[in-house]
Amino acid sequence: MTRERKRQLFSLLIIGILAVVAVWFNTPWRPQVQIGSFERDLSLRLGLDLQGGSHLIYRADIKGVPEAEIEEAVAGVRDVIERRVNAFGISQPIVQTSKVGEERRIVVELAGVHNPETAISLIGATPQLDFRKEVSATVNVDDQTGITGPTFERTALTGRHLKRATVDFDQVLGAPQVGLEFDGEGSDLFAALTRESVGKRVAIYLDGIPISAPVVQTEITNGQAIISGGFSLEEAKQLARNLRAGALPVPIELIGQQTIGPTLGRLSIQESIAAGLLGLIAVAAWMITFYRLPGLIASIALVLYAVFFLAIIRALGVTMTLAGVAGFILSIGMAVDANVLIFERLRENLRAGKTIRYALTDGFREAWSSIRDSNVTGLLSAIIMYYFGSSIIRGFAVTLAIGTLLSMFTAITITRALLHLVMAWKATHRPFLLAVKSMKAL
Amino acid sequence: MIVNPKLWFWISLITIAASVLIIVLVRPLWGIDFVGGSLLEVKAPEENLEKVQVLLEDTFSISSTIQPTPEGTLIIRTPVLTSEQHQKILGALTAEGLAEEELRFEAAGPTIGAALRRQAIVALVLSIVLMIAYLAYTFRGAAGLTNPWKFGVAAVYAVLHDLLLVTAIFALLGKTWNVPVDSLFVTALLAIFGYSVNDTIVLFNRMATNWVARRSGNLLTNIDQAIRETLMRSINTSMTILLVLVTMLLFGGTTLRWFVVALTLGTITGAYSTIFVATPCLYYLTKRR
Repeated sequence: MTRERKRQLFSLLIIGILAVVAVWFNTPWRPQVQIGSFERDLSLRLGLDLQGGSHLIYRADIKGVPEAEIEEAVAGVRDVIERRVNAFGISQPIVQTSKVGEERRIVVELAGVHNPETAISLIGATPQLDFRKEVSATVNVDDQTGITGPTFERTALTGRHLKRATVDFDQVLGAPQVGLEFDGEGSDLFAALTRESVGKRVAIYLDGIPISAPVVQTEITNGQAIISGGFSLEEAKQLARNLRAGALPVPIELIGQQTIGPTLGRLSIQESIAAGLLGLIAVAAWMITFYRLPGLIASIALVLYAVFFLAIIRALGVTMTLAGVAGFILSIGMAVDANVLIFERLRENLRAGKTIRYALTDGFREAWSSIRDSNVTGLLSAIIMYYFGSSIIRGFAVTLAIGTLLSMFTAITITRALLHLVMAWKATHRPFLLAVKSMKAL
Repeated sequence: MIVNPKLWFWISLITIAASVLIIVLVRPLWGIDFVGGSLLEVKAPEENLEKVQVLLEDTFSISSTIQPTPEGTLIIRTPVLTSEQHQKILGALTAEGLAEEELRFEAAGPTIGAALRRQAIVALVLSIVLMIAYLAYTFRGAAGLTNPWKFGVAAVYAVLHDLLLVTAIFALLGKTWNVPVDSLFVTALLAIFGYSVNDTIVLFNRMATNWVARRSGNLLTNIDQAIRETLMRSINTSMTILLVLVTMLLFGGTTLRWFVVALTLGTITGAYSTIFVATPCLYYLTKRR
């Protein structure tokens, strides 16, 4: 066995192993990947347009907010929305902030929510911050939240009266604490509340959920309070943010929404699968008709392309949107471009009287510069699309980019390995099988 | 002779001028994501179309354009609706028995549109600059024969021809079938961009290789031969892409139908423009050296 032959068999072995792994990834018996805290179950992630759901885009009004505090304010809004959506009981909501030009946006994705009106009103509601005083535990005055144990009763003091909430540090111990400052009316109410509650607790509720319940040491009349008590810096920041959000530092506005019903999503999946399979068959038929044996090899590589593609999508956890699926199906048509380039060169070389072996190796070599250039331009446009795009367009760009890179592997490496394997068999050296009129005998 | 450069160059100029004229005069129907507005797709038979329109006009004083789809749904476009308005309209439609089920609802405020429009323009301009630069780099080997930048300019000229032509067709489709030019369409344009340049590169590559190898010969004969040599590849690649696009048109859903139509048109003009637009342009650029 020559060295070249050994190398070819070795690459075939690698391809075989990769193919088996890829097929395994696409079966229900696929592995569960877990490396440290990184976990992935390799299930296909479907975008909102395929599984149905709501996509809400909010704009944070950051006018008048000092540059340095914008990040914090937007993060506060995100936290509030996240808490509200979680309270709504939606599985795995996605709440993200994004920056579009100078605009700050908060994108909320609610999978499986086909009627987002309740969610919208929940998210858009003015956050409720209020202060409650401790009452005798036997009387359950506050029955709304159903919280047992020490019971708290609503007072007139709410987030409306809060002027500022900041993180500062204990002068002696340096421990993080949260400082509150009330406005005029708030100061009076707070003084009254603390006078009544000396030695007892005052609870701070956000959206009906208690977030802190410090014990009152003395009556406070200057409208300033400090919540201390073993916070980490992160916790103190979080609390201050919650309190500020309760006081609405940044109003939000719903500027866009998209709701896909469950029927449309399901229908789209079925249609896409049908279109993808038929597309694959049509391309394979075309390639086999035109290029015969090499076309058949290219079709096998194309099937492997589809299998590898799905495995990669699963492994990377790419979310498949409808546009992403379209990109994938389109890439099936584009993936054979490298094959077409190579086979045209092969035919040319055979016609020019080269022996099969050289016609083949030269064909791959000569086609390379065209393949490289066309793939680079394809990748460039995919990258630009990704930066341009909203989530839908990004799905298309990502699948197109993965498809371009992967097709180089399947259309060049796999096709070459298989062709060399088959061509070693002399019976294949017939003009009919190679789609040329005549060729030089060996 | 496949190419009569003078004739085809003039045809490409006329096509571009006509496309620009159509885009300016007819004006594309901008999608709601670009200009703001709401889109509501409901399951309802076509005969309810007018009743729905009248209901929206009379009860809610909302003007709408409604388009039936072959799948028995109606796509209703209106100015931006608030959540409450949307709920009320949906309630009224089902109460009147005009629509069964809401399939999707989209709303976009005007600020989203402004940002998207800016992004779309940036993306297209960036693509043009990067492509010219990359082509100049990759054809630097032909520097002894002609300025490599000319390859990039000719390829981008062909791409602009394709993009303008497809946009003009969509402007007309917008007039007749309410087909919108939205961010999905811009995505299609960017994909067409990639494909059209790709097709042109393969031809130019062959041209440059032959040219460098021979260092002589008539420019036109050279171009002609390169076209002959790459023609089968160009046809076959376009055909495989068209095959999958056609299956998507026939079996894919409505949501992406016009997106696929844009890609189909782009694939056809992309292959056409390589030979009949990019090549004559390159010919004139290099001839005047």
